[in-house]
Order: sequence, then C-alpha cells, then structure tokens
Amino acid sequence: MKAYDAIVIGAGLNGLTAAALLARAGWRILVIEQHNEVGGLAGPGILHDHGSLCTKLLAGLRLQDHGLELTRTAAPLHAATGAGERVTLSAEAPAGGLSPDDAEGYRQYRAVCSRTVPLFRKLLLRPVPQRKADFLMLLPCWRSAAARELLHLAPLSAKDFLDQFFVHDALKAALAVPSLQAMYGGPFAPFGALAILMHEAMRGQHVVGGLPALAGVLHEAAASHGVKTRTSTQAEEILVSKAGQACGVRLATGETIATRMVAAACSPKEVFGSLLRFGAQRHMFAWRTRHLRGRGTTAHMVLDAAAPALLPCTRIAPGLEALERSFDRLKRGELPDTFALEIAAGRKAAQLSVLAHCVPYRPKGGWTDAARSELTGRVMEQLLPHLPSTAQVSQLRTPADLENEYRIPGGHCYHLEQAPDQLLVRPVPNFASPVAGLFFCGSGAHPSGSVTCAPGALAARAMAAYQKPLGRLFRNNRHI
Amino acid sequence: MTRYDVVVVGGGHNGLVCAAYLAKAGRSVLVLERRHVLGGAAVSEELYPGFTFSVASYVVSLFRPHIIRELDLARHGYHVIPMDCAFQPLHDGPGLARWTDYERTRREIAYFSRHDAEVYPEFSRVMTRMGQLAKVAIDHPPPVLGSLHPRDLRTMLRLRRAFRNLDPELQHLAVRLFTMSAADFLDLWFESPVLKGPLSASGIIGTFKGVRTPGTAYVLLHHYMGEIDGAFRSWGLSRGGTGSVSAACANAARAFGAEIRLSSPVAQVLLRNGRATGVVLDNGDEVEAKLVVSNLDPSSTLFGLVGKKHLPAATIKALSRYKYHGSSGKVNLALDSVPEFACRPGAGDHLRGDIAIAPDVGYLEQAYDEAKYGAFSRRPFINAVIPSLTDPSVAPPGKHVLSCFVQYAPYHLSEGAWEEQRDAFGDAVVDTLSEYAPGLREKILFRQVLTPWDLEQQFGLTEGNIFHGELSLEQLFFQRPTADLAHYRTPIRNLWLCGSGTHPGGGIMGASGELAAKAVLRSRHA
Repeated sequence: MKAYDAIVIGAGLNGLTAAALLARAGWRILVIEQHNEVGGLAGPGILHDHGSLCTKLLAGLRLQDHGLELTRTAAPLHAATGAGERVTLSAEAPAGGLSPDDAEGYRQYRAVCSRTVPLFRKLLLRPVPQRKADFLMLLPCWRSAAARELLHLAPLSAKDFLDQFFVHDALKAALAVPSLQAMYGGPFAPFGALAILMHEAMRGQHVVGGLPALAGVLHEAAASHGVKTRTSTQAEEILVSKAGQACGVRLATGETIATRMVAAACSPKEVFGSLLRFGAQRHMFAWRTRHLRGRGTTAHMVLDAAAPALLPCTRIAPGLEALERSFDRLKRGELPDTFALEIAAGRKAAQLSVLAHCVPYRPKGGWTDAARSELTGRVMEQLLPHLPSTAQVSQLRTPADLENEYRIPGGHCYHLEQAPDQLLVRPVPNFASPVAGLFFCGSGAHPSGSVTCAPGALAARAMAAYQKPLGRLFRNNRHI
Repeated sequence: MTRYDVVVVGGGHNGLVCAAYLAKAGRSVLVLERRHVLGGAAVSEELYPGFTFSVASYVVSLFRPHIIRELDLARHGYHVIPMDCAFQPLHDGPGLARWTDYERTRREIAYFSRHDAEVYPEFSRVMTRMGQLAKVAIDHPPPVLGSLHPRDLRTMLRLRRAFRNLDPELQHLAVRLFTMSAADFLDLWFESPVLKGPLSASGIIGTFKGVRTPGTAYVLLHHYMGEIDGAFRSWGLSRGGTGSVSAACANAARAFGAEIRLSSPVAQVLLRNGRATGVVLDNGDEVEAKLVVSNLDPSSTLFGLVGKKHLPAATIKALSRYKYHGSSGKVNLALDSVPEFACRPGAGDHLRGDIAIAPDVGYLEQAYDEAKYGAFSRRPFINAVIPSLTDPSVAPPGKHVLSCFVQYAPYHLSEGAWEEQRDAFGDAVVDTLSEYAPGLREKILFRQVLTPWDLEQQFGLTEGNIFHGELSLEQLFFQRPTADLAHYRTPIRNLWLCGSGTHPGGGIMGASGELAAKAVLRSRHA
C-alpha cells in the first residue's frame, strides 16, 4: 500500500484544519483519533471561546459550503456582578447595566484593544519571524505607536491593566478570566494583560451552534477533500527512520502505518514524553522540552438545568483579590472556596457547560470522590443565586481527568501555558521539530490562544513549504 | 552670585558619579544634598557608639569597572572586599554554603543532590555567558524604539551582535529568560529545593514580586555580571560600609572641581519660560545654573520639585502609573558577639559572606503571598551580612554588626500604619533569625528597624522602593521610568534625571549617573 503523505495525530479542531488544508493541496492524509468522535476538547464543549475563529486563514476551505454559520457580530459578554445582577459588554452597543465610570472605562478599554489588536493579530497570525527578512518586514510594526503601547501594556498584571479602566471589582474579575485560563498565575501575576489582549485580539465572529458544530463542519470539509479519519485509534509511537526522518506511526494495536510526514495535533508534551522514543531526541532539545509547562487549572462541568436567568457567555467571578487568594490556595494544592466561572450553552437543550478556573491540577490527597464532590459543591454554591434549585452537575472533568482522557500532560486546555516565554517559541519555533518531517499543529503550537484554528492552518503551510523541492534547503533549523 | 553650569540635586552615588563626569568634562558643578551625610541610600552612619552601619544599601556588586577606572575611584578610597561565600542555614542538616571555590561548592550541593552538583558548574557557565548579554544592555543608553538615528541603530546592532554570539540553544534560553519566573527557570536545572531557595531569592530582591512571578528570572543574571572572575566574587562589602563608595565618588568629583554642599534641601526647580534655570533651597536661597540634573526618583523630581501644573498631561498620566511598590525593609543590629547558627556552629568562614534565610521556594512564595494583601511577611526572606567579620573597622573589637535586608514589607499596609507596626516587624525578623541562630536576641545591643515608610522619610525613596521604581519589564530599558523619560531628559528643558529610576537602575552600579552625564554632555545645551 502506498504510504500516506501525512498522518495527523488527533482530530481536534487544529488537527482537522491542518488535514483539510493539506488534503485540499492534494495530499493523502490520514487522521487518527483516540476517541470515537472527532473534535477533541471542542467535542464535549470543554472549550468555550467560539468567537475567535480565524476565518481568513481558513478561507480556502469554503467552510460556509459545509454548513458553517457565523453571526454578524461578536457575541456580547455578560458578567454577573451580584445576585441576579448582570452587566452586558459588547463591542458595538455601549455597555448595559454599567455605572457611568465603568461605561467610560469600557469605552477606553475598547479603544486600547482596537489600537493594539491589529498589530497583535499581525504578529500572531503568521509564522514566527526568524530570518533577517522577516525582521525587516516587521520593522514598520515596531516603529508604530501601537507597538509602544503593546510593549508597555503586555507585561502588566491583569489587575494593574484593568485597574486603569474599571471600578467595579466583579467586572474586572470577569474580564480577567482569559488570563486565568491561559496562564498559570492569578490576577496579580505579570503578563495577565498579555493574555487578555491576546484573547481580545482573537475575538471575532461567533460560530452558530458553538464549537461542536465547528468540529462537524471541519470534519465534513476534510472528508470532502479525501481525508480519511480513523476514530477509536490510539497512536502509540511516532516511528523515526535511522536517518532521523519521521516515517510512520505505530498504533496501540501494534499495527504500523507508513507515512512521509507526521503532524502532531496532540500536546507537545505528549509527543516528547511518550510518542517519541528515547534516542530520537537530542540531548539539549530533550532537556528543553522536558520542562515545557502545561499546568492546567481549569475544570469542566456539565449542568442539567434549564436556566433562563443565566445567559450563555456569562462569567461569574468574585473579584480580583478573591481570585488571587483562590490562586494562592491552588498553588499550595488546596481546593479554593471560590472560582472564576464561565458559562456556555451545553450540547443538549437543558444543559449548561461550565468552566471553573483556579482548580488545582491535583489537590493534596488526589481527586478522591470526596474532593470531587467538594469541588462541585463549592461551584454550585457560587452558582446558586443564578440557578433554579433543581440544577445538578451531571459530569465533572478535573484537570487530571483532561490529562487522562485527552492525553494532555498537565491538563491545560491550550496544551501549554501561555506564559510569555512559551509564546513565540511554543513548543519549538515554526512548527518543525528536530525530527525531520514531524510537525506540530495543535494548540501547543504557535500562536495558540483560544480556539483560532490558526496553529493548524499555519502548520499546514509550513509543511507544504517543507515539501516543495527547495523547501528543505531553506528551512530554518537554527533552533535545533 | 555665581552661576553654575550644572546643579545636581541629591548626593546619592549616582548623583556624585554624574557630577564627577560633568566636572571632569570641565563644567562647573554644584551638588546639593539634603542630609548631613553624602551617599543617599549608599551611606554609612555611626548609629550606636563605635558601630558603623551601612544603613540602607549593604553590598556592592555591580559598580561598573569602567567608571572605577575613568574616575580613578581606587585612588579616592574605593575598596571592595569580595565575599567568598553564600550561606543558607537550615533547620536540619548542615545548611548549604556556596563558595567561590567550585569544588567546595560541588561537595556542599552533593549533600543535597548529586544531580544538582553535577549541573551547577554548567549552570554558572550558562549564566555568565548570558550575563555578558545583559552587560551590553546596561553599559549603554537604551535605544529609542523604532528610531533610525545612527546612535540607536548602533545600540541595536551591538545588542544583536552580543545575542548572536551566544550558541543557538542559549539564544533560545535567553529569549525565555527575560520573561520567566526565577523558580521556573531554576526548575529547568535543579531538583533540590534547598539550592533553589537561595538562588531564586536573588531574583526578587527589591521587587514586589514572588519567586514564581514571571519576569524575576533575568534578575538572577545580575549575580553573574561581576567583573571579578568566578561566580560569587562579584558581590562584595565596601570597606567602611557602603558610604565609602559614595565618599570615593564624592572625592573624585571634588578632585575634578565639583562643589558639594551638605544640609541643603532643594525645595523646587526654578523655571523660566518652561526651562529649568536653577533651584530654590528650602531656606529660600536661589542657585542659578544652566542645567539641573536630579538624582531623585522621577516622581519626586517631576511632581515634587517641578509640580504638575508645569508638566504635559501625557507625562503626568504615564508617571502616575509608574509603579514603586516598596517591598523591603532593613534591620540593623549591633551585636555583643558573633551570632552562631545551630546548623553550623562556630564563627567560621561561612559567616563572612551573605547569609540567606530562604530555605525553599515555597517559603519565599508564602512570604510573598502574605505581603500581597498588605501585611508584612511573618516569616520573611532575610539576606544578612556581618561586615565586621571581614572589615573590623566598623565595630569595636569582639563586637559585630549584623545588617539584615528583609522582604516582604509592603509600603501600603492594609491595616494600621508602619509607625505602629515597626517594632512588630523588627520582632518578626529577629524571631525568624533566632530560629536558626538561637541566642541571637540576647546578643543584641542596639536595633534599628527601617520599614519602607522609614526609607521614604529618611532617604526620600518614594514608597520606600530601593531602586526608585519597580524593576518590572514594562519599566525597564527603553521604558524606564516611562517611554518618554527614558533618555534621561524630561519634558522640562534643561532638567535631566540621573537617579536609579533611569536605565539601567537598581543596585550600586553608578551606571545611571554615568550614562546621564554622557547624555547631558552630548546635548546641545551643555
């Protein structure tokens, strides 16, 4: 049998994107997925940001023809500020329910975002600059006022950044939530502003039907270009030839599939930790990758409740200092009393999907049944003022569960923390690894940050460039 | 009445270095110091009969060697005794001492972890290589971002060359180093918490950040930038206390013809048509000068000496967001005899260096967690030195001076005022030390406790920040103190900054003063 041009490991949104784009260019692609459905974390709705799809990079796939529907505008964000009280923030309409000070603050906040976001998108949605030519092309960016503003704002903590605009504590806490999800740090930790601005930079049109719908659309688009998908298939090892070239994938069943390239959409930590066997990795590189950080602090819950009082896209957070205190407890391996909660519509009509941030990866004593019910109890207590009393948690995934279920060591939703030192070089610059023909195309690759599908799309480009006759000559391997 | 070319407000070490360089270039210079002693925070005072204290700043590390050369400071009394050891007492075991001698250090570390002992020399080597990169940055004025001026392009090229000189793997590490937390960075190398404790502590000194806070890792580099060979030699004690560093700078300035007046507090900067034309002293005297250079921190200079009504709105906005966040205090003790640490009894060589109470990363993080909500750490990080062991001139025979740098002590307390809590703070420090050195309390003859509030009152350090402003990434390099004040100029013509609040800032380096003087001399009006 003829070898595949590429095998994509993991049928998450990024894996499907890369597969579809490469198949469209005429490649023979196989996607292997350990679960029995596609979508990765997006399948059961563990990711909530369905407003950050990078449509421009995906334009070639004509997703609209496969049933993708986007709303005209970004979805508004609701922040619960007290029992039954709520403010609505949307980019277009002036905020509802805000005090005059906060409304003015929000106007300024949007102004800062709109000034810095175009530059930010420009920097993120392209391969990391490495060659002289890339830097020269970016020179005009650094000369702009936006660059100066971005350099000043990015290192601020979420607290310092939001204090510049807002008065209401719960509102600030609600806006700080993306930084809690992306980084391992509380709202007082520097670079929270970077995570918030990155989140804002990626916000755009909103997918109707949420991320499960998007996964379906991408899968259909990939299939229409001839991508084969094998679900319930676990990859065991990435085979590397003696010449140091990725040449196949061995499955858990023992079957081996030959391929010319491998695109890993799974966590880079998993690739380095278990898929690549010792000997394929060089010393310094192995040392560096062993210490990639991906400490997850987010738990996912499915709630059975028809909750008219609680709109999707609601964030409930107690306040910045309270969140920081929660984070302190997390650091020590204790279960905090309050969390930052994000609520979205569930997959079924009477379900809600809740993300709780500031949950320890592994509390002291482990995730025993008692610890799990303690966690759901505390989350429900926080949700109670906003919910009918019949509501109950039907499913809970702790960061440790995410690790086991999705093979993400550490259980971080974005595979790796979005700490500034793990951003542009995540996990290695420009998708290629020291193993020739092995590329990264998952959330752990550049640029990550919410659900953009950009890592998949950019990795597909890098792979296509690598395959061109002169591609190997010009590929940049300085990082190895 | 004479009109000077330059008036330097504040006789801290940076102000004196700046004055010396300006006088050396032939300008007539007057330095005005508010207190009766020179040196600002680098000052020695006899607080208790017979005992000389380095009241605030206590160790010398980074004083730029080319400044020593150019100003001939050695001849004017600059003498630093390198410290040979960094000692970390522990509750169990012998504690950990790191020596200048690698082999000795290796044996000490191997007691805790064989792996770490193997890695340690490699770590020092890598840090020294990267320290050279940082040295390029601190020895030159920061570039203007995006500027195409030849001078700025040269600076950028110089930085690029230094960067390209590193191996690719080190380049990768250097990029990450600048934004990592000290604890994460050390996790790349070491496994033993005992070693990571004191190493990571050097990333937080003077900042209101924890060892797990991003942006603290590059401060570790400061320990590997010393010009004297070896990893630890770079830290030293000045003979006669840190005040003698300032005295050497002052002698050099005087030798070049600068005039220095003590007890002359400046009330405001004289302005005419939006230009600085001199200063007014507290007693009403006016001193006229072509240029005014301020050694004070940016806020005290612009908001205090100039006044908001003379400043553009953008400057006011940017400077009001400039973070000080004083976080450290100082406890100075006069002792009857040498303190003895339970884990390593006797007054051996291990006490001659700096002694850190930082048993592990968790301890330091806990200390930070308490402080972030506005209370001083009950079990703080302490960095202590006993200068009298190496320099007997600072205490009567047989008696000793113990100088403790303490973190964290937030300037803004959530409850109460520092005046009421000063003693409780001092007690917390003595209690913490006594846990490791039993019997310390009985040896104390005299105790001075300096809280951030005291530092502000006594030394004019806004919010008690010892570096004239937090060393966080958005306030460093071409953004120190703010983007438009980063080049030693202010919006007021002929008014310049030369304090630690300008690039590179922090520590007794003298670099801010030197770079400011050179910037002044380059300008048209000098």
